[in-house]
Amino acid sequence: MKMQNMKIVQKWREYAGPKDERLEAENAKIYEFGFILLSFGMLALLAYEIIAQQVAWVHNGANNAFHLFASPVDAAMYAWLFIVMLICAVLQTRKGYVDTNRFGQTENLPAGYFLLIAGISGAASALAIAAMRCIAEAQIVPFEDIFWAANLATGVVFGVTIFAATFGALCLAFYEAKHRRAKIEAELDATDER
Amino acid sequence: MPGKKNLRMKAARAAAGLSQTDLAEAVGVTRQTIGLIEAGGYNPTLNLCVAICKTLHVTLNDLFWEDDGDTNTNPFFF
Repeated sequence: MKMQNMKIVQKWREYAGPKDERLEAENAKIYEFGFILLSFGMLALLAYEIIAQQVAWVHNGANNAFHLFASPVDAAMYAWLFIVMLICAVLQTRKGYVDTNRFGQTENLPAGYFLLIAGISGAASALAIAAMRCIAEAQIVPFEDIFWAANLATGVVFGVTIFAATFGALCLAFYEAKHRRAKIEAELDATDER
Repeated sequence: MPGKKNLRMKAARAAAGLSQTDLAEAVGVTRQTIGLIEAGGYNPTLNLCVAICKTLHVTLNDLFWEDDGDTNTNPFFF
């Protein structure tokens, strides 16, 4: 039984009245903005937490065991973030698109666009990671003991990895979306012929 | 405001003797939405356009179709 056919849902709709399409559109924009702020903010905090612990671990002579997360609740929180982001990506591809602009539903892989997006992500991540490592080090060691070059190198390595991972994920999403789109179009054609 | 004012809709609503609130209630949106459509600040869906036209007893062409000479590229505002 579909949720919208349930009696309690119908009663609620009668009580709440019709939805204003403009408010729904405005709401969608607000939630989109909020989701981006929340998810990328949490990702930045997660990266900083890991970097700060790793930097402290290195400066302490790497004697103690390295813990990625402060507590299991912390780990669960970030796992939930990744699951939610993954669900959003999967739902997008199930609808047959990867972006809302002219590259969202192309027949051929928009490699240039994906390389640009992956490049921006990689470069931004490299700079952010290098900066975070320097900031984290500045909290625990004197300024002159900061490993500037090593931090930059670490940032570049992660930046390249993120570039490759982003490009791979976009390509995967593109082919999955294309596959789903073909299925949706076949269903529409079948309905049209009836 | 991204679009041009929809003065024809405003005139049709006035001719029907409806306030923005009356029209909003009849089509199931808020008064602000009707105000924004008339002011060119919101581009309504076809469903809402049809609901407005039915309430005002006019056609889509009467309210939302642009003339050939109009330079505005938005088909819903003129």
